[in-house]
Amino acid sequence: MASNNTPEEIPVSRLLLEEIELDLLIEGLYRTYDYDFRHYSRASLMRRILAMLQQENLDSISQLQALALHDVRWAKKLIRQITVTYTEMFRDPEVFLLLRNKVSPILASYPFLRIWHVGVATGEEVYTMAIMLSEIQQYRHAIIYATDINSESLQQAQEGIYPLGKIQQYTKNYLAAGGTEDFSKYYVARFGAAAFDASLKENITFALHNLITDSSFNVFNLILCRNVTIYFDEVLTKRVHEILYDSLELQGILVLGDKENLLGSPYADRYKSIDRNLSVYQKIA
Amino acid sequence: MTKKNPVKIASQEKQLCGKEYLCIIVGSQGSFNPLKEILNALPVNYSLAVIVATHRTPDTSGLITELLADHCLLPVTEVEDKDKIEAGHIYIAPSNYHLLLEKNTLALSTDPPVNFARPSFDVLLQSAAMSYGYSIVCVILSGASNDGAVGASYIAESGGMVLIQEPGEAECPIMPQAVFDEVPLAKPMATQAICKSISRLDNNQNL
Repeated sequence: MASNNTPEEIPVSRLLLEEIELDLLIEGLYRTYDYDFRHYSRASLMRRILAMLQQENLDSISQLQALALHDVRWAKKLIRQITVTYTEMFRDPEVFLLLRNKVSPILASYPFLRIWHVGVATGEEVYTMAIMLSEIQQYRHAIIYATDINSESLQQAQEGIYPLGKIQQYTKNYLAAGGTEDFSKYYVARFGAAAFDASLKENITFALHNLITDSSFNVFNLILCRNVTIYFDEVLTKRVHEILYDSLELQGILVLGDKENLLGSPYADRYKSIDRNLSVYQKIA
Repeated sequence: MTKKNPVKIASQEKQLCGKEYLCIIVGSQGSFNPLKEILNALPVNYSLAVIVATHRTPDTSGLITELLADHCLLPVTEVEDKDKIEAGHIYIAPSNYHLLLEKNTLALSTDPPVNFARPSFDVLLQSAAMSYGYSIVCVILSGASNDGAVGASYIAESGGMVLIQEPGEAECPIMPQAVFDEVPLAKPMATQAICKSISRLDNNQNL
C-alpha cells in the first residue's frame, strides 16, 4: 500500500464499519454454527441486527459477534432474531378468495390434497388454510405440511394461540376472503388470547425445514411460499425456486406473496399465471 | 480516539454508496396534491430514480399508483420485491409492507408496523442512508405523525439532503415540523420550490 497512515490515523466511516462488521458476523455464524445467512437480504439483515443491538443495549455489531461466538445462548438468540418472520390470518384476503373460488375446483379432483406451507412462521397462514378448506369440505382429505427454519416460531404455530387484539382484523380479513361462518366459532377466547380449535390442526404436520440446506421432501398439489424470498438475495431465491419446482406435481399450484414474482425462478416459463396480480401460478411443464 | 477526516470518510462512502443521486419522497395525510405536483414536474428525460412512500389503508393499494401515473411524464409502477432501481423511473411503495433499499434493488418486508406504520418512513430512510448515504435527496411532505423524523436524521448524518414541505403550507404540518425539529439542516420549501430543485437534479452532470 502506498499510504503511510498508521492505524491511528485512518479515519473510518460508521457506515463502512457496520458493513464490515456485518460481513464478519455472518461469516462467524457460518463457520461456528453452520448457519448460513450470506444470502439473506442485506437491508433486512442489517435492520434486525441493529434492532437487536438496541434491545440488548450493545454498542456495536462486533460486541454482539463476540457474545454470539463465545456463548451459544447468545448465538441462539441472534439466530432467532434473524430468522423470525411475521404474518397474519387471511393476509391479502383476495388471495384466499381466489383459492376458494377458482383454485379449489382444480384441487377437488385429487383423492388426497397435499399442501406445503413454506416458511409458515407462527402459523397464522396454515390455520387460515385449514378454516377455508373445512368450509369448502376439502379439509378431510388434506395432508398439510407447515415448515419453518425457526423452532420457536414453529412451537408457537403448533400452539395456535394468538393475541385477542388481532382478532378484529382477522375477522375482517376472513369475511373479505369469502368466509361464510361466524369467525368466532373457530377459537376460544381466554386470558386475552384466542386459542384456535384443535380440530383445525388434525391434518397438519409441523416440521423444521431449512431452505438454505434442506431439499425437497415430497410432492405437493399446492404450495404456499408467501413473503419468504423477500428476505433472501437472488442466489438463495433461485435455490428456493428450484426446491419449489421439484416439490410441485404437474398441474400443481404455487402461491407467492402478492408483491413477489417468478423473475427469480429458473423455471418461470414452466408455469402459467392463474392470477398475475396475486402471484398465483400453475406448473404446466 | 482519532480525529475523523471528513474527506477520507466521504471517499470511503463514495465507494460504498455509488455516486448517483436518488430521490425519495414520503408523505402522509394531506400529501397527495403536493406529491402529484412534484411528480408531474419531472422532465421526460429525468436521470434520477424516484422512490415514493405514503401511508394508506391496505385496500386502496394500487389505486394511488394509477392516480399518480396520470399526467406524469415518467413511468410509475408499484414496487415488486427485488425490482431494479432504474433512472427515470418512479417507484411507489405498496401498502402493508415495509420498503427497504438494497444496493441497486428494492426489498420488501412484512415485519411488524413501526409506530403503527407500514410502510414506515423511518425504516425506508434508514435503509436508504445505509445503502446510498450522501447521494440521497429526501423530501418530507404533509402528514399527521412524526414518522420519518428519525429516518431523516440518518440521511442528514450520512451527508444526504433533507427537504421538507414548508409547514405553513402543508395541510398537516406535524410531519414536516417533526423532521425540522429533529434535523435542523432540513430545508423548508414551498411545493413549487421543491418541484424546481428536484427536477433540476441531474446525474449526467458532474456532482
